[in-house]
Amino acid sequence: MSAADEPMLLAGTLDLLVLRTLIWGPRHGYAIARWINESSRDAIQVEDRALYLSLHRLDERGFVVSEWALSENNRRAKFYELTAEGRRQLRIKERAFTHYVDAVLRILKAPEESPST
Amino acid sequence: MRNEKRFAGLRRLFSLPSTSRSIAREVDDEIRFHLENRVAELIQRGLPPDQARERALASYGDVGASRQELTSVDRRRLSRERWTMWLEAFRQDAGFALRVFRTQRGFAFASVLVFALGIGANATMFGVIDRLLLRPPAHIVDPANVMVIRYLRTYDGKVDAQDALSYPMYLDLVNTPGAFAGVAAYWDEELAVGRGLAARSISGRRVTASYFTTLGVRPRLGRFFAADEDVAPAANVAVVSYRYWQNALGGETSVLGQTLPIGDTKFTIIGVAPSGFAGVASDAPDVWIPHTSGLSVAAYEEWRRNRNGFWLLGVVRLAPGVARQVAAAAATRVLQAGLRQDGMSDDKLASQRPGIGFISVLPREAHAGDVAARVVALLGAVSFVVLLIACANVANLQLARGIARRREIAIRVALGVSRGRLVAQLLTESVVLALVGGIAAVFVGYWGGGFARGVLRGVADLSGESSIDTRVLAFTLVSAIAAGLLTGLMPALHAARSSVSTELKGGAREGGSHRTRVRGALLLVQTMLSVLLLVGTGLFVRSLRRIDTLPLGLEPSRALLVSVQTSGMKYSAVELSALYQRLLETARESPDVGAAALATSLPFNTSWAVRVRVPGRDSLPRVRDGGPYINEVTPGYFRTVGTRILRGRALSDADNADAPRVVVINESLAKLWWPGENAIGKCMKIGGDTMPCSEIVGIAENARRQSLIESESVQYFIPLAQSFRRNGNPPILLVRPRGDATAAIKTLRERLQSAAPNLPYVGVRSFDDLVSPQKASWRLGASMFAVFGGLALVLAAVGLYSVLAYDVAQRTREFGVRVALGARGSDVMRMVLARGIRTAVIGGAAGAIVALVAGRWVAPLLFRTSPRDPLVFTVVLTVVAVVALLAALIPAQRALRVDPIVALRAD
Repeated sequence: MSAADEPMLLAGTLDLLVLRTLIWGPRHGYAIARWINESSRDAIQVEDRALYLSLHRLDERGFVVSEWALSENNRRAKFYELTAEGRRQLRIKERAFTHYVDAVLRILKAPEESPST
Repeated sequence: MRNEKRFAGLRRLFSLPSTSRSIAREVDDEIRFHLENRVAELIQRGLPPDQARERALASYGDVGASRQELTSVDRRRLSRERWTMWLEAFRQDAGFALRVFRTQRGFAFASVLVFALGIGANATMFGVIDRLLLRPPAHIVDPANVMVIRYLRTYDGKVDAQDALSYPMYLDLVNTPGAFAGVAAYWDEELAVGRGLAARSISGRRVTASYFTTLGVRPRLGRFFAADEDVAPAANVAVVSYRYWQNALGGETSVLGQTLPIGDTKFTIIGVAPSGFAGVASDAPDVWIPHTSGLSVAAYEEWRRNRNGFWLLGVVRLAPGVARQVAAAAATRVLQAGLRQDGMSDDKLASQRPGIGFISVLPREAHAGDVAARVVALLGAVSFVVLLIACANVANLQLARGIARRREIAIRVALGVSRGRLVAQLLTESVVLALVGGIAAVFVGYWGGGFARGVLRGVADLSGESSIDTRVLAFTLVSAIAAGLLTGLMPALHAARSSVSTELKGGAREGGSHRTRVRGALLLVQTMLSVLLLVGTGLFVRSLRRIDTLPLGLEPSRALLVSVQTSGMKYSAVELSALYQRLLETARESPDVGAAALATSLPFNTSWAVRVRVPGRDSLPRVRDGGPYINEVTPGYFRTVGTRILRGRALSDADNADAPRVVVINESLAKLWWPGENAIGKCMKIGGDTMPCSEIVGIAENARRQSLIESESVQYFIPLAQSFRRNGNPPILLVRPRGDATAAIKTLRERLQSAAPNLPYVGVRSFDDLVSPQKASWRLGASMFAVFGGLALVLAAVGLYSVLAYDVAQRTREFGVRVALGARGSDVMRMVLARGIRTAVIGGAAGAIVALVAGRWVAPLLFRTSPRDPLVFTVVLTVVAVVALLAALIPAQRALRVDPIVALRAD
């Protein structure tokens, strides 16, 4: 698979996806990666490195907090959880993204106009 | 949401990675966990393990890079979190401290004051040291490669180095191949702007066109000299200093292209130097002009040939990769070849070994061996001692307060405040006090800086710059925090160590013997350090007195110097001499002038020698410092400068051009050439064998030639009217006012300036200006030591007073019991006084011992004063004892007034 075939991820979108993934409760990084792949039906292939960078940056900004705990198969894993500030961010990002996508779609689906007005 | 907060708090408590190593480990763990899960998943889907592994790594991306970026993000977060936590704790503690101080205003005020004085003393000295000893000269690019040129010669096996160079020497360096990236020369000259009553004097520096490029400085405005602008006849262009631009020229950019009338010439201003640029000197001139300004081509050719005039100062930039010694050796070769070509004998070359040496402009080297610089450094150490005393003082106050606060602290400990937190809290209190003191210290430093600059005049001119800059502010902040921590440490540990049960049980009165011992020790240290500083003060004051009372054979403080600034004007020697004659007459006719005279040499400034023969002698004895030195003077010279005639007579108006030639010699010359004889009446052929006899008519006392401290120099004086040279040095007018010399400067200048119409600027200044810079290091030491020593003594006295006063207050009950049991008031009083005296005696003795040991380092900075001067030690110890007694007296009287009934009833 070459890089050109991958759907490009818009800037900031990964943060949005990650925050969205955490809405149902704490998860570790691997679970987040799998969830993004599965729920997009593998349409979005996120490089794991980018995912973790996003997680750590969200942690730094206080949108998520992390804690070491035992995973489903009883191993030590780092879990991430949304903070109140993170939830607020998620709502803002979601709204902005939806606006953006709607606008793009409106252009793409607009009926062809005749050049003469 | 509350839940999340609690979660975050718990995480901070239990799992926050606390070190950068554990951060890296956690990142590794996280990545490993991810990869292992992914591999397991892929194997489950049926991939062989090695392929699964490959796929997992590929979909992860660059693991090494990832690890690095994650670690750095986490580290950033950790350090930010630590800061916020720390600042939050400090904010809380500081808030608490301020609330505490509001209830203890006296204590807070006293502490802040003491801190302000101690830190302010340090800020002042740091400002001076930084400017003088730490920073390389401003605006010079890569100063490590910039060197001052020195002319080396060997006499009697000793290398003599001088800064003044001849013009051919400068050319020798210019012509040394490959060694230098730049060679420049310069000298200073007072320049007159305008004429008549509107004439002003400004300080000028004549420089080669290479000056600015060699130093690598960039103009603030406009440009510097082009390479051909100093080729005689030079372009009439000038660069002005930032200060002169701002103060005298309006500070507008339109200054470029304006003209400056210097002498008879209009100079076009082509550039402004950056603020604070002074070249390699300590002070900036008002204006720089090409060194050949106003010079004819013929006169310039004369410069190029004359190897006997030394007046230029030189500076070079070493070529890249050329070592200083290599460059010096190369320049020496060119110099020696030039000297040989100009007729220096091989014998002289071999014995004097003339050569070129270099000294770096970096402060460490430039100030090595400079007594004033060492005094400044010593004063820096002294100001630090003052700060230590201040810290001891505040610590003492805090300990006293700590006793009063025992219950509060004990209650907090009992309530579960950890000792670490308690120490942090108490330290914060002390740091807050020191920080407030630090703010006040900026003002102390500002005033102190002004004072120090005044004292430093003669060592360095720092007047153009502010005494407070960012470096001083940063230093003040750091020293405030350090002083706060140092001060708070002992009282804080003390308070934290105290046991809860005993503190809560005991009444407020029992002071705790340990604490009292600590306070006593602090007091001893303060006394000791005060004695140390006071001894230093005494030694410098004594040195200054010794140098002030040194017999000079001159009275520089009684005389004024008058010179007409004719630079840039065309005056013939005859016109010039008529001009000075006119000024001399005007001065003599002034009612407030006691005496006036012209001279062609000026003590502490110029001296020169000519060939002298004594008939009947093949060779004359010489002295190490050369000579005999000639001075051509008008009658009245000796009275004007205050040199006494020991035998014979002084010169008189009758000794004119037509009269027989006469000479007055000094005592040293008489002893050297006519030992055991009467020199009066003897003949000297001044100027060589072909000259007529000058009869010795008088013997004058020895007078200084160049410096306060010099070996006896041999000198003689002939009437100016009988000068054998057609155009000698332009004379200088010396005037001795009847009263205070400096007070007469203004009126004398006005009178002389209007002596003739359209005169160039007539400069009048005190003769003492030439002499007093040579006393600067002792004056500096004496005055700054006195300030610091006085401060130390006051602080120690206050410390002693507060300890004793507190002691008396604490022991009221005990005194009451004693009085009730029959002790007399005087017994009680004696007990208190004894404690004060004990402190003075023990602290004084310790201080004296330390001062004796430390004397070794101070000795080279003193003038004819032993660092063990018994008078100084006696006076200092007496002063300390008296002050201690006074400080103890008030508490002692309070003890005397203790009423047993009242004392026992209390509590």
